[in-house]
Order: sequence, then structure tokens, then C-alpha cells
Amino acid sequence: MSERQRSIEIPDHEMREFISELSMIESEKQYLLPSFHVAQEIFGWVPPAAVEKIADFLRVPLSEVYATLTAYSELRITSDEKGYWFICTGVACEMKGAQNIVQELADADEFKVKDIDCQFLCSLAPVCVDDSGGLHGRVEVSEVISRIRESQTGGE
Amino acid sequence: MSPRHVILETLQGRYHGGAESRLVIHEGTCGTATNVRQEVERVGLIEMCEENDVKIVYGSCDGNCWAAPSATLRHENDASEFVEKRFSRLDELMRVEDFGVMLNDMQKGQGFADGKSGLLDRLGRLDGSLEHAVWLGAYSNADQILRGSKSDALQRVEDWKLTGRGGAHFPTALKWRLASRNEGPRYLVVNAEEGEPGVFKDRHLLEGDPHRLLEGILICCFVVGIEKVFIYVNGQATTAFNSLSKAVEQAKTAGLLGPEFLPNGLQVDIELRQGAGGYVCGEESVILNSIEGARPVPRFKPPFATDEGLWGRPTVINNAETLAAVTTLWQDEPPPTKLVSLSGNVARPGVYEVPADGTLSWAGFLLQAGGEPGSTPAILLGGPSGVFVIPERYDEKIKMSEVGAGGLVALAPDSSIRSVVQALTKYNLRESCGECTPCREGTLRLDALLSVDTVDFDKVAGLVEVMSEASLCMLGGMAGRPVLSAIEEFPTIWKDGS
Ligand SMILES: Cc1cc2nc3c(=O)[nH]c(=O)nc-3n(C[C@H](O)[C@H](O)[C@H](O)COP(=O)(O)O)c2cc1C
Ligand code: SF4
Ligand code: FES
Repeated sequence: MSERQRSIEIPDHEMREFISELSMIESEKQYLLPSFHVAQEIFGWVPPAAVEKIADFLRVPLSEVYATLTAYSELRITSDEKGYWFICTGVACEMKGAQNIVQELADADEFKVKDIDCQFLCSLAPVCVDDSGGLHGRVEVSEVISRIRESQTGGE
Repeated sequence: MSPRHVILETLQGRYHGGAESRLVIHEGTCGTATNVRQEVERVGLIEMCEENDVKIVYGSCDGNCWAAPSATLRHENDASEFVEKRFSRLDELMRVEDFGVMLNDMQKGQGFADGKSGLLDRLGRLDGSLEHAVWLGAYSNADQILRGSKSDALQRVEDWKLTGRGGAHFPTALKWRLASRNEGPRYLVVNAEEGEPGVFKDRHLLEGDPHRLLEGILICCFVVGIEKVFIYVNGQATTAFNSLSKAVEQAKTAGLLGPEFLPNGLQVDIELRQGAGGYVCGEESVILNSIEGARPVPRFKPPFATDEGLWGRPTVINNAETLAAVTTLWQDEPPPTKLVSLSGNVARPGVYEVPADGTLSWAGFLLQAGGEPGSTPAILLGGPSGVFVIPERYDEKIKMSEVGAGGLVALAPDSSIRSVVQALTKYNLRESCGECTPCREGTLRLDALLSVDTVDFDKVAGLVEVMSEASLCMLGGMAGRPVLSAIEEFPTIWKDGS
């Protein structure tokens, strides 16, 4: 865990909420993943302070907690990911022109955008995911650009 | 009358929507991703329904994802029979000049695949209440089965040759028999992780007809003798998760999970778990580890889960569709069907129910979905662990044994097979959990072997052999499949970086 991640301030009220939610879970190892979900739901990621609380509470060694946490691709151990839009580049979306969207966005160069694997909405390809996790189906380049612009520059 | 029957009759009696004209707005993930709520407002549907005394109900996607945002209008006609018409795009509905006249001459709308229904019967029709589901037949097959013996029920599953819909097509009856032979307590784990790119049928089932899954679960618990069930749902499928949680609560409150409904004092406890990503997290032993709170990596097999599964106890792991399909085996004419998730270059992508008995050809299926067999260079079947079906084979019948989990992507005319194969290989490389060497190193080298101008087939074949023989799980075991298939079917595209 980097010093930078460790030094990120966790708002007190979020930590209090987390501790109270955690205390409603049974103190058994099987609730490790559910505890991670609680943390991610509240903080938007799983910060070191929460990991330590979880390890204590479930009585699982910290090293094992991290080994498990980092094996799940959807659990975030950094807070950097916020604010991104994602363009699905799975096979079905590629068949519906995902590359064009990726290319045009790359050319525009002003947005926080990344590629992402299949979002399981292939029947509505091409698909993108907005910065709060919402899925959008059958998207068009111009529409994506204007929506991203709106959300990332406050609509200027 | 048995207490079981009383529960169902009471629930049915509480449903009062029978004689109403209803407009089901197909919301769910597909509707939300196409802004259905805003569309409903934009075209003024609410006022129109009010004027014509039509009740608006929010349901899920009915599998016709291509039509989203869409709605289905249903009402009782003169012959006291329900008729329905569905609308692709809501403005189509608004173009009908007189809503009232149209209500009278509605016809049954376009349905699924061949118009036959089974598993998808209630999908997208329900209003979310247990009463409505029961009114449309939910739990009636369980009712019938629970009156008979366990061995009769097991025999039925065996006679209909139900196989696992998670991809491996293992005989379901055999799995149940193996677990029931071992001493209890036993567990049932429902695999609703659905992490194979290109597959979205389990999500549709969970969102649109969760009680069908629960009914299948109860039948399995009765046959095998299970009191504790875990349903492991994909972490991103939140709409499916919420719909299922609500259904479990409804079933519990109505007494369907306890001795009022189940024989021999059986009491079933159902716990939902949310996954957190990764293709390999759909592999059954990974799910077991995940539920126990261990690192999500595969276990060595044997021991098999039916002998030593969750916490070392005998465990049945079934895909969500497998259990849902169990409920269809008791109808007069059981529809031996498989759900297929179709996407790519067709006019009507969505969830289809295709006959499992090999009566539909690839070409026939493509045409049904508004595809053009003549300009479809291949169908990718099974995503990153899959194969390519080429035009020379389009007249062959679709066979259950080869469809895996049922993810089909019709490739576009101008697509580069080579880039598709490379993308799939890179996907397997990213998703390899790293627990075993043949896959961790093998996917890396396979990617490298494919990234040169002229591919060395012998090297690829040798590497894939090692990976398929020696990998700990089938992610590594099948990572070479699309590569070998593409080399066999398209031998000329691997030279000079073409
Ligand atoms: C890499 C990998 C991913 C898998 N993903 C899934 C999945 O998402 N859903 C599923 O039901 N089975 C999946 N399986 C298959 C399961 O391991 C298992 O065979 C299945 O859940 C058994 O249920 P069934 O017999 O009802 O199909 C996967 C297997 C592998 C090797
Ligand atoms: S085959 Fe791949 S995914 Fe499976 S255990 Fe080995 S490294 Fe992990
Ligand atoms: S490929 Fe984009 S959602 Fe599946």
C-alpha cells in the first residue's frame, strides 16, 4: 500500500457509517467479500483504514485480507479511478463500431476515458459506462462526446 | 386440499390485474440503458394510458433487447383471452392514432425464436409481485413434484437429459445423485456469476423472472435434501441482485421456503452473495473459495464438489439457467430448450430460447434474428473459450453439446478474424488468475506468438496442448480453443501480418 493512498483522508462520518455497517455482519471469515463490498459502497474504494478494521473484526491476518482483496478485479484499492467514462471494446461492441468511438475520443484528447471489457449488455452494443457506473446502450459518438463533456467540464 | 395448494390459491386470489388492460414498460438493465423512463415521458405515454384506462406497469426486459426502449400492451379481448402487442421504440406506440381501437384488434406480438415458450414464458411480463408470478404459473410445477417422490423427480430430470447450462453440459441428474448419496448437511450453490463475455441470459432471468429460479432451487433442495443455499450473483448485475433479493423475501414471507410448502419439515435458507469480478470467478471451485472468504482461485479436482464442496460438505453447484430449466420439465410438453445470448451483426440481438433437440440451423437462427447468413463471415460461439462457426456450416443444426453457455456473436462483414482472436487471447491473459504456470505463462506466450507477422502454427499447437493438458482450471484449459479454431477455419490469414 503506497504512502499516498494511506495518507488520503477518510471523512469521519463515512468511517463511522462503515464501522456501524460492519458490526452488523457476523464476525466470520466467510464474510470477507461482503465486508469489502460494504467498504466500497461507502468509500467508493477499499481504503487501508477499512482493510485494517475488517482484518481485526473478522480475525483474519492482514496479509490474507490483502491477498484476497487484490484478487478481485472489481474491488478498488486506490481512489484514482473516479471520474472516468469507459467504452466497451468487447467483441460484440467492436462489431458495432466501438473502435470509432475510442478513436474519436482519443483524438479529442481532453477526456478521462478508458477501454473496458464486456459489460454484458452486448445486445445493446456499442456500450459505454458513465462516471457513476451507469450503463448506456446503442450509443453514438456525438452523444457520448457531448455527455462526457457535460459531466467532465460542467457543460461549458 | 393440501396446505401447499392453499398457499398458491391464496396468492393467486390476491392478484387483481387479470381483467385490466396493462402496458408493461420494459425497464430492467436494457430499458435503463436506453433511457426508457425519459422516453415514456417524452412521448406522453402516461397521459395516453390514463385516457384509455390502461394501467402502467414497470417490468423487466423480455429478451427482445433489440427493441429497447419498448413496452408491451396486454388486455383481455372478447374471447376472454389475453392478447398482446409489443412495441419496439415507444414512439411506434404513439403513432397509433386511436389507442382504443388498437386495443381491440391487437394480435399476439412477435415472440421469441420459434414462438415456443418455456423458460422465457413470464420474462418481461411480470409486475414484480409474487401474486402475479403465481397467477402466471410460478411454483405450480414444484407443487406437483413435491407431491411425488424424490426418486420420481430425479428420474424426470434424468429422462429429459437436462445438462448444465453453465457451459460444461454435465448431466444434472447425475450431479444431484452424487451429492445426495453423501451424508448431509449438503449445500446448493447457484452460479449466477455470468462472467463470460457475450453471455447475458442469467441476468435476464434473474431480473425478469426470479421466482422461476427459486422454484427450481426448491425442487433441487427437495430431491437432494438441502437446507442451505447460496446464490452467487455477478457483482455488477445490481438490478438482477435486487430483483432476486426481493423475490427471496416474497417467497419467505409467503411460506414457500418452509414446511408449509415443503414436505418432510424441510426448511430452506437462501443467502445471496455478490461477486466482485473476473472471468475465473464463475468457475465453480473459485465460487466455493469466494463464499468461504478464501482467495478466489480454483481448487484441485478431485475432490469434486459433490463429495467435498463448501466447508468440505457435499455441494451441488448449478448454473442459474439449469435450475430455472428444471421447472419446465414438468409441463405437458416439456420444452427442451437452451437460452442463447445473441449479439453482433444482427438486426434483433437479444435472449433467445432455441430448441435443444437439434432442429434449428445456424442459418435459420440468424435469419430469425434479422441477420444475414450470406454476409456473416463467422459466428463466435463461446467468447474467449469458444470457437468460430463458419458459413460452410450454417446449414447444420445447432447442437446442445457445442453451444456451451450460449454466447453467440455474429461477426460483421468487414471484421478481421485475426484481431478478434488476438483480442480474445489478450482477454484470457488479463483474466488469468496466475495460480498455475501453464496458464499464467502460457497466455502471455500465446499472445506473443500471435503478435508476429507470420504465425508459427506448430509452436501455437504445442503451447496450446500444454495449456489444455496442464492448466488448473478450464480458463487456461480452453484459452487456446478460439486460436486453434481460427487457424483451422481461416488458414490463410496468418501470414505477413494480414
Ligand atoms: C473460466 C470459467 C468461467 C466460468 N464461468 C461460469 C459462469 O459465469 N457461470 C456458470 O454458471 N458457470 C461458469 N463456469 C462453469 C462452472 O465451473 C460450472 O461448470 C457450472 O457452474 C456448473 O453448473 P451447471 O452444471 O448447471 O452448468 C465457468 C467455468 C470456467 C472454467
Ligand atoms: S488456468 Fe489460469 S485462471 Fe485457471 S487456475 Fe490456472 S492461472 Fe488461474
Ligand atoms: S461486448 Fe460490449 S457489452 Fe458485451
